[in-house]
Amino acid sequence: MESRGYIEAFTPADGKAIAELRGVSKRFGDVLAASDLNLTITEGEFLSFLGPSGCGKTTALRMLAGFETPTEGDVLLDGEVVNALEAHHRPVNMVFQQYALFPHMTVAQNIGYGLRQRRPRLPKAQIAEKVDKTLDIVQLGGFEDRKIWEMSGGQQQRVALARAIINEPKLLLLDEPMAALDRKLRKEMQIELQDLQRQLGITFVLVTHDQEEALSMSDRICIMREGRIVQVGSPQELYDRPNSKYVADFVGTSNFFDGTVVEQPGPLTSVRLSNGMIMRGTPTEEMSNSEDVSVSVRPEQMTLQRQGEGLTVEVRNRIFLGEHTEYLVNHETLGDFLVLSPRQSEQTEGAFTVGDTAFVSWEDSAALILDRN
Amino acid sequence: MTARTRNWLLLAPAGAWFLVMLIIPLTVVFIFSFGERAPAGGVVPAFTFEQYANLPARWAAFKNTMTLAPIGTLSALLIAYPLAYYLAVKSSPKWKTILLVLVIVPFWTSILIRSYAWIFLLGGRGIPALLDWVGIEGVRLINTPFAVLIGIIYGYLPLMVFPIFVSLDKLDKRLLEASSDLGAKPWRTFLQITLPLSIPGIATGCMLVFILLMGEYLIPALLGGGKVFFVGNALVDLFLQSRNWAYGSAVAVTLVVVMLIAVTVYMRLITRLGASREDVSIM
Amino acid sequence: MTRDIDYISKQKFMQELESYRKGSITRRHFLNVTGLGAAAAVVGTAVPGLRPSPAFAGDIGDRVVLATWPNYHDPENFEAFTEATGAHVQVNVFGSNEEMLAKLQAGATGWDVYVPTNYTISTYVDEGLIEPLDTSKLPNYDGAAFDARYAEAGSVDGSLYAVPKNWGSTGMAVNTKHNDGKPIASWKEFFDIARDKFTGRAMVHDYQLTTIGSALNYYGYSFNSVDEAELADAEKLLIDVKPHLFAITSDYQPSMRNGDAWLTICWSGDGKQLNTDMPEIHYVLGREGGEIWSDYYAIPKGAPHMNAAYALINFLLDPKVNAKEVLAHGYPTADARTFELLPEALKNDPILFPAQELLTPLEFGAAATLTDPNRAELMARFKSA
Repeated sequence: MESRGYIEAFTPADGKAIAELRGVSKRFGDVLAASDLNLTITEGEFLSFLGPSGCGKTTALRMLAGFETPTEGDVLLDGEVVNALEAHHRPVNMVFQQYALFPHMTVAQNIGYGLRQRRPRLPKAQIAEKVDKTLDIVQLGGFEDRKIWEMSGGQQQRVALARAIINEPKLLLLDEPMAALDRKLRKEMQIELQDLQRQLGITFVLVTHDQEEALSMSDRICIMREGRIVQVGSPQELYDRPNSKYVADFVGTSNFFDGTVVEQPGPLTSVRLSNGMIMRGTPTEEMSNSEDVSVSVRPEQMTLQRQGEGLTVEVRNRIFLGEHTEYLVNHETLGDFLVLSPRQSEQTEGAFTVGDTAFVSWEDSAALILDRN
Repeated sequence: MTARTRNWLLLAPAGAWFLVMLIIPLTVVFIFSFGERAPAGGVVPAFTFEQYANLPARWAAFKNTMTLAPIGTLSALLIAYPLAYYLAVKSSPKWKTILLVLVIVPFWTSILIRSYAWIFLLGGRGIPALLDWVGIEGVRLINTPFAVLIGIIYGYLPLMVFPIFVSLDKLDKRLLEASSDLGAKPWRTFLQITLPLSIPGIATGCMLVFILLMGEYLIPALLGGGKVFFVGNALVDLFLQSRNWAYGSAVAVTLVVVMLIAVTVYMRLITRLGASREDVSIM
Repeated sequence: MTRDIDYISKQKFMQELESYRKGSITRRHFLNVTGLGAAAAVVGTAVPGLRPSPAFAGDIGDRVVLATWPNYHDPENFEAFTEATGAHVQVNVFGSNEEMLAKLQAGATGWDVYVPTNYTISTYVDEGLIEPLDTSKLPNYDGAAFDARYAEAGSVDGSLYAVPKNWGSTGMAVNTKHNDGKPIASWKEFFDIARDKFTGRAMVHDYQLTTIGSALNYYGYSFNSVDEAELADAEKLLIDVKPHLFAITSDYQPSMRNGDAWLTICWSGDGKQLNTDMPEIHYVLGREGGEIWSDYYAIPKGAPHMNAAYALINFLLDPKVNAKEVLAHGYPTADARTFELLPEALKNDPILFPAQELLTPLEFGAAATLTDPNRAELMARFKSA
């Protein structure tokens, strides 16, 4: 796959580039962990690297931190190439997966660690004062003398966060920081983290495999796959205008119908599906006839009716989700797919039950024709 | 079977072993130490402190032991630590295994045989001849305290390497990255993170080596030429040559007491070091 | 590996190597340090496979346990014994009479035959650790064939407890190369040169009898003295010499051979071996005196294989067998019948058979030295000083 999926970074016009990856590759022996990464990170933004494990997102983060040196290309911080600059010289701090807190130090000692490394030395009183203030920021006031092992998982995460932000880094790197937390705590921390980021104005770079987390927190998301950047954009952009089936599948839920391009008369492209049916939709890039593509339709863009036009389906399953109801429906030749009905629609159409016959339809423009890879 | 019975059964073999192999012999030695030497050797029961009063006659042996045991322990530590550090932190997994095996290999041969190799190496036709050849003349190694020290370091090095290796190997390497990430230069990361977190390994290694060294007699006998005399050598002499069991017992009891005191002081020291980690980390 | 040897022939090299090998690790020292002799005895007893099948066991059983000194027998003789009787000979090796006594005092050694030195026998009798010998079970023993000097210690209060094995002397070995080719001739010279020209090059035994004895000889006292004032003088001398010593060890051959040490207290057999391989090393008897000793065969009280013990002693007393023994270890025999069978060169060896006037000042070790607490403690103090 060449880099055609790459969309030139969507950078806020007023933002200053705080960090940059320029054609960066990283090889571990025979394994190409990161390949030709190009990305500009803007001061003050919250950017996430999103992808399954092994996609290279952690490698990218570690190159920013200074734990790995790129095999090719340049890493820039504040406009300067820092490829060989060791981690302890970089104005960058990291919140580690599992936190990596120092077990032989108290909470306050952990948090003050970065300040104690400064040369010339900072006065002890000044360090103590900053530690206190940071403890307040992460809502751990009064915990300074606790041992690390006396803290809960959520509290440890706050300590790790405090230990990093106290240094006022140019970049705060977060490596799957929420992975060890339970679901409820994770939600809370996501909100707190976002607040914190706005409050401090520090640039956050998050690595996660959890799309929900990335979508809810980030200004921009950089989607990665097999060592490459697939697409970079705001959550909404990625959701509405994915540039590949991979992205559409990774961001949100979608129904895919595979086929080949037959005609591109105007703004809409016609695709012949495997069962011979023709579907039309909005192309996301230039396409040639007979190219293998996938038609993607989000479940919430489908309408389910008792009568009318569209595909004839049989309702297989119904899941009530409150505001929405999710139906699993089956089409004779296209197989199973999902439809999300809003509550109002339920009120007019009445609820479908398993076994009902129904009609599914959508606007042609809502269907996206995507590169199948 | 109640839990209580089960616990007793679990402890029974070790308990019986300690009773037969440790408690009873120690008690016998303790009782002997108040006795007197039988005319042709051995012991006659008595109740006298004469043997203890005569302890100053072995002052040199105690002094040698109490000097060379700590020096040997410390030297072994200084050599073992970088090796253990390299094995645990720096070497690749493949080399790690090979090097670890190499550290163990000498244990496959008796320390006696290995010390004989040192007799040759330190003797006039060994290292001194080599030094002579490069122009450093008149170096005498064998039968000196230094030769004994070399033998001690050589013999006890694996015992020091292993506990330190284990503590460094299980050290979470991300802590080192975290320290570096927070701006600590490598040597400060070592002093503030690696070293304090490997103190349990250091403590175990030092304890192991020190206690065994206190009872050492083979290495001084072989590499010290009978001139570097440990308490262990004094004991062998007293029981096997001069057959003064009473005095030998008194010396043995004293050695055990000295050992207990040394170990207690040492444990206090380590605990205090552990409690004041703040100072360690603020260095 | 001295610098002045630029070139040595292949033959010379092999000779050197061989002589080094012979002396590099003597078994006596090895076993003395490890107690392996005792361990071997236990193993030999515990593993049935180590015993030969009794071809013709007769009534002496399948084994006999011998406690002796290192390199002191011809293994072929043992094989012949096993072949003849079906009893396998198990050998335990010892480094000092003190150690032998310590083991017997501790009890349950399992020994059938042991080899005490002359001066220890009366102590074994006093302690009830030795069995009187029944000469009717020793047809090869002929009391008249032995030189009385080397046989008389075997009898205590008219009873025979031990029969002579071999005898020898204790003198000194000096590497004349370092003394302008001259040997030394007295214990006075020995201890003086050790503190002067030979500093760091002299050795004394790790053995109270010879080391203290030699120091007593220095003052002209008896080798066997237990006089407190005389012992105090000896101790003063030894402690004064100690910092100048190369080693306190009974395993002196390796250091003499490799040139680390130039002077040592020495037993005649070792002296002979050193002199044969390195002619510059001379064996000398001290002018003031020194030790003459005789080793014996004896049976400890409660020997588990009494008949086998008698059979073994009797076998080893056979002059033909004994002559093979002498050829193997090189120590002289007190048995005239055996002496006759030896080659002329050996009979006339000045180291093994010194002239009578040299032997005259020598003393047999006295029983008192073995049990005297002052001598034992003096030695221990000297070593730990």
